Amino acid sequence: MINVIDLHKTYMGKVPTTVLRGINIEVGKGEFVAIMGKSGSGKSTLLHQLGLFDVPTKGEIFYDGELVSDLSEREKNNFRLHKLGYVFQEYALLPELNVIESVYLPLKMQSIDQDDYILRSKEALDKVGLAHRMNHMPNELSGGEQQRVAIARAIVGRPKILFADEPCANLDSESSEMVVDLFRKLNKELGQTIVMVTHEPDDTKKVDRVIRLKNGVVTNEE
Amino acid sequence: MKELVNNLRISLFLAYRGIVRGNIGTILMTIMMMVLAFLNLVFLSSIFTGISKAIDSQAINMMYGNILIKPGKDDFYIKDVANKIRLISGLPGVVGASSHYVDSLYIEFDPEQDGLDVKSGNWITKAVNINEDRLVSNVSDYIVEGRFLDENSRDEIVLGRDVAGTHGTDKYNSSLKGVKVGDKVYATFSNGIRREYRVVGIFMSKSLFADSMIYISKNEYQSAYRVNGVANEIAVKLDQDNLEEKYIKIIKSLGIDDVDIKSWREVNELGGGITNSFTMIKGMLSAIGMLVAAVTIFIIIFVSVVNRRKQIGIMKAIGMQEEIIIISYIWQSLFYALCGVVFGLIIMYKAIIPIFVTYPLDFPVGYVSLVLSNNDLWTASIGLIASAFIGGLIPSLMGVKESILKLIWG
Ligand SMILES: Nc1ncnc2c1ncn2[C@@H]1O[C@H](COP(=O)(O)OP(=O)(O)OP(=O)(O)O)[C@@H](O)[C@H]1O
Ligand SMILES: [Mg+2]
Repeated sequence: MINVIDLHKTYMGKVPTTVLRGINIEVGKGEFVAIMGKSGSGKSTLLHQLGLFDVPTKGEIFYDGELVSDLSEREKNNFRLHKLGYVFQEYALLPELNVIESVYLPLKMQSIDQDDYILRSKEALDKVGLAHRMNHMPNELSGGEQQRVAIARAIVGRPKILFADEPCANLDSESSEMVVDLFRKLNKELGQTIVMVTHEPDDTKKVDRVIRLKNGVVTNEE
Repeated sequence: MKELVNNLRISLFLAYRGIVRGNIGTILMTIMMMVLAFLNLVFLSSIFTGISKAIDSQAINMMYGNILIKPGKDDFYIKDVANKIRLISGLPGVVGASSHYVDSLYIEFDPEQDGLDVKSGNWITKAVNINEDRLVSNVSDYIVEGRFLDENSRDEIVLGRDVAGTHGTDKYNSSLKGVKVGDKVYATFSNGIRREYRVVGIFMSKSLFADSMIYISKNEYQSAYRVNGVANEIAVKLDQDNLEEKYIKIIKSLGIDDVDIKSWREVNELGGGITNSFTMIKGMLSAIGMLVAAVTIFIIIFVSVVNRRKQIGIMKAIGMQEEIIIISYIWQSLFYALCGVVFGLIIMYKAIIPIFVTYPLDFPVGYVSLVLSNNDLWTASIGLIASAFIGGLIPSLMGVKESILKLIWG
């Protein structure tokens, strides 16, 4: 599914900061992988490269054999729309869209028919247990609920791969567990490939594999 | 093509949601700013158009009529006047034709009648046939003291306020300094004939030139000069403005060809110059107004884009193409501009113009009410909408070009 080869990232500022120093990762289809490491070890940076939010300094990223690092901006947008799902640490919903609109927006962008996108959005909301909150606005939901809407939005397009960068960092332990269990369920039931950054040691029990980062390299994979 | 249509739909969807779910206070404020920007544009143009219209209408109604006929090149008088008046008055669409004698009268006014401290001066004087002239000129509407001449007027004279030196004239020093109705004045015609006249009326039109004129009846001139059946000019009033050229042709086609026929515009050089200056000032102010409107819209959209950096980042992160985001901002600013135009027009036509028609502005050039010309209306509307387009485009373009990381995480 994903092949990362010798990925480097240096932030060019007044003082250049080298964060990734040659990452090599492979994630297979249907895998649920956790990325762990100390704060500042470059987990988010890695995920940003994988999510095509940023351009690596060096190295290659392949999705199913397709080299994505040198796609144009337009092609990257399209790639993100059709193939990737991304869940942010903070609840990244658009405040002017209600729950169902937030979820069907990516499908609408893919020119999918209205009947179809409503149906699929309802299914996705059902999976995250929020079908009954369809017409609520984001500010009427709890943090955990907003995060689950964001997850529904990320999976509604049936992405090849779902990225989540500390999706539970802002949630209480109960909501956190709910979110991770949800990922587990999506992974098991739909075969959804998931790469999740987490700090929570408990999460390691629920994933197939942990990738540990230290000083910009992968130290050991379990 | 299909993608384009879909992108337009998505951007419309986002813009619509942004407006209906946005903060109502912010939206009303934005619309209010647009309305003010629009009113700013049309209000000033309307005043200037109103001033120009007032000056033009004074030139027509007090001075020249729509068409002014003068003697042929080598003549001092127009000949065969009665016949010409009859022919021209008979034309459909002609309200009236009035022949005038025009002379410069030297007026003396001796308030104490003691030969000391005599005020005097020279003023252009029109000698008119009352019956003809009331169809062409509305000077009698502006009498502020006494009355206008009548058919039987003998030894009577009517003065403009700038001649009399009363009624708030700003030309007091060159006037007769306080002539009242009933006073006697001496008038010397250009040929030296001197006569005594009784002032029967004073008029104040506030028109640029009319108030420094004098009216006497035609008979007075004819007896002073011993002429008959001739005139220095014939003023023709039409029932519609802007048909002058057509009627000049028609009048010529009647066989009236021993005279010089001009439209009031050609004669009205000074007034026309002033009107042109106003048109230029109006153009400049409109350009500034347009710039202010464009900057206002730009700032409003800019602030909104800055406040939504994170959202723009999220939209890009879920794979939204940049143009969808940009167009959604353009839709929004077009919406605001359109509201500005619509509410602005409603306020203009239902409130501001009626108020100024009822209570015209008392300007030095006369009473001025607002006149919104179609031209200015379209300029302002299209200008505001074009400003909105640019004001929506540039900030969102700037926003959208930033990287997702910068947009979301600063
Ligand atoms: N835009 C940037 N410019 C310069 N340095 C950056 C930038 N973004 C991140 N860094 C630096 O890169 C390093 C890795 O950051 P990153 O956010 O990837 O860490 P992380 O592993 O996600 O940490 P955390 O667990 O705290 O989220 C940090 O030292 C950070 O200061
Ligand atoms: Mg991080």
